[in-house]
Amino acid sequence: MMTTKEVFRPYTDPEQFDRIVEMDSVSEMWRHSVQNYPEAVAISDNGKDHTYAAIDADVSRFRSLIRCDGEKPRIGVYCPNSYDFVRAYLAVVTLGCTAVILPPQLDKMTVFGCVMKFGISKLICHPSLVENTEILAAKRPDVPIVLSDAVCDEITDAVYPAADDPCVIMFTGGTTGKSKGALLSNGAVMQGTVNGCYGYRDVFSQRYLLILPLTHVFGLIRNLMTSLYTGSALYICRNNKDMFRDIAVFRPTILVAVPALAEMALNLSKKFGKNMLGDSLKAIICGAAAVPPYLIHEYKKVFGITLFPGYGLTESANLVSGNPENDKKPESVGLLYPNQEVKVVDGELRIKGKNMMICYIGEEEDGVYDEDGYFRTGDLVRFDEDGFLYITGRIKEIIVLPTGENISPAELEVRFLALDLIQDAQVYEDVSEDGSHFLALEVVPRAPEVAKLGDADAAAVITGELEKINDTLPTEQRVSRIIVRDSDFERTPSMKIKRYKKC
Amino acid sequence: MLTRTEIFEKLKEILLFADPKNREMIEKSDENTKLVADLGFTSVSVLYMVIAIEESFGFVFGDVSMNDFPTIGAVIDYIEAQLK
Repeated sequence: MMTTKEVFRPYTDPEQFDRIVEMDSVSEMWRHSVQNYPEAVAISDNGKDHTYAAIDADVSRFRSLIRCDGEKPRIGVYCPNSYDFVRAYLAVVTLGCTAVILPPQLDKMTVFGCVMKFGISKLICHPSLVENTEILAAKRPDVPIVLSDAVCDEITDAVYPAADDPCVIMFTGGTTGKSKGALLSNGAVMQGTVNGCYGYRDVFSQRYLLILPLTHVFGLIRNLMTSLYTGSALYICRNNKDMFRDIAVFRPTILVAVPALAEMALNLSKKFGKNMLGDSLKAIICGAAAVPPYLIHEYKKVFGITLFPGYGLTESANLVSGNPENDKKPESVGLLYPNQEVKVVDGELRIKGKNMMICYIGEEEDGVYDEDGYFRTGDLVRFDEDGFLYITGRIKEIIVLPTGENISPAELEVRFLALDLIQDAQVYEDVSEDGSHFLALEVVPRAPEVAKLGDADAAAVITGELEKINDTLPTEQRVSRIIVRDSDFERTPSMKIKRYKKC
Repeated sequence: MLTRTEIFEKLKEILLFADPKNREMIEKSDENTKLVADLGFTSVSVLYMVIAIEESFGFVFGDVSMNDFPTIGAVIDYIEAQLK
């Protein structure tokens, strides 16, 4: 199945839809934006507005500080979210080099390790992180460290790479959890950037707030790059605790956020009786984790804000799909974005396309691609009759019952999570004293909804509601035990629920 | 001026709001309870707490790190200092 952009046409203002054009490189995109929006504010950071033209001049000078005549090396960008990050990143990639995006929380030994592992030949470092380059400076004095606030008068022109040329290396756990770098081409980054324009009405000249890390594809591509591509302004929130004060000042129209943050904003707004996201906000682009339908409904009902769920991977330069019909199909991660070839084999989604990474860097791995060159996502999916995609689980989480029945816990959890009373759920296989295997369910209730129950026995009410859902499932998928927890599940460092392994 | 006990009670309400999934632990907590090690607070629940404290007590947190608040007692110290 090959995907096209036309399925998204009905959802966008017609004049704006025709302005969504594909580009081969970040350099081409940046030139286009500077020519079309020279005096518009592109970045607002630390009390200062930077226009597209001013940034372009600044980037041209910064390129002089990092250029390597005749070579296109990998250059590390080691900066927190800031204007310096944006300037450094644009300078590297518009010079035709590959930007290796290093998270600011890396310690000095890891910084040194990354330089060795990824073959970084120069490092752009924010002044606040300089002490973490001590080991690098001592052991590899041949790797220059350029401060991200360095200045230069000389101008160096941009280079225009081909779509296949490397652009960035982003950290990822991959589909197996081992940390490595995903090498993305210019074409992939631009496809991911343009994908961010599909599925909603007003695309260009928006006001974005940046609260996600730029070291993650969701922050770098969907937030920064799509903002720059659309001539929008991006306000950099330097500390998430100031998010709501920043929102009051900047009045964003689009927020890109993970579900936990969106739920926090909703709960705080309810508790303090005011819309803490401001009256200008029209849309929240929500991803990087499963989006509960409850959030979509509540945002629409309480604030009239549309929350768009999507699905993506680091390896696919962010978004693979987005859901423009979020009100009608809130469980779906939407329609596939253009220029992808996908197939579903044994339930697993496999993808080829312009947006897909070139390869992993740093770890050799078997089984990344199938025999036809499709990337194996490791995600179990299904499509409905209208072509909408649903994530039903992860291959490695499949439970094989003694009957041979394959059960995807995530697919069952979605059914129970449809209850507003449930915040998190886990289905797992357990074994009874007589040795028989069975499916069990544990849930964490959603406190604001439980509070609405008043004096009723919350656990009994919740169990009753869960049993009603359980009774609608095919016999082999029904859970035999339901536990309502009074504490959270144990979590991984990335906040995912640690799955039980009891059998 | 709120007493330390009153601040603690108000803070408990905020902690319950910030991390309602850990009601039992929060209700049993005292000033020595550790936010991360004992209550399992995450970056998001800490963010909830900070914003809710600002809204409830009417002051703005400075550039403090969460490492500055290892225990509930440390949070109360900070609130007391800000209210003075």
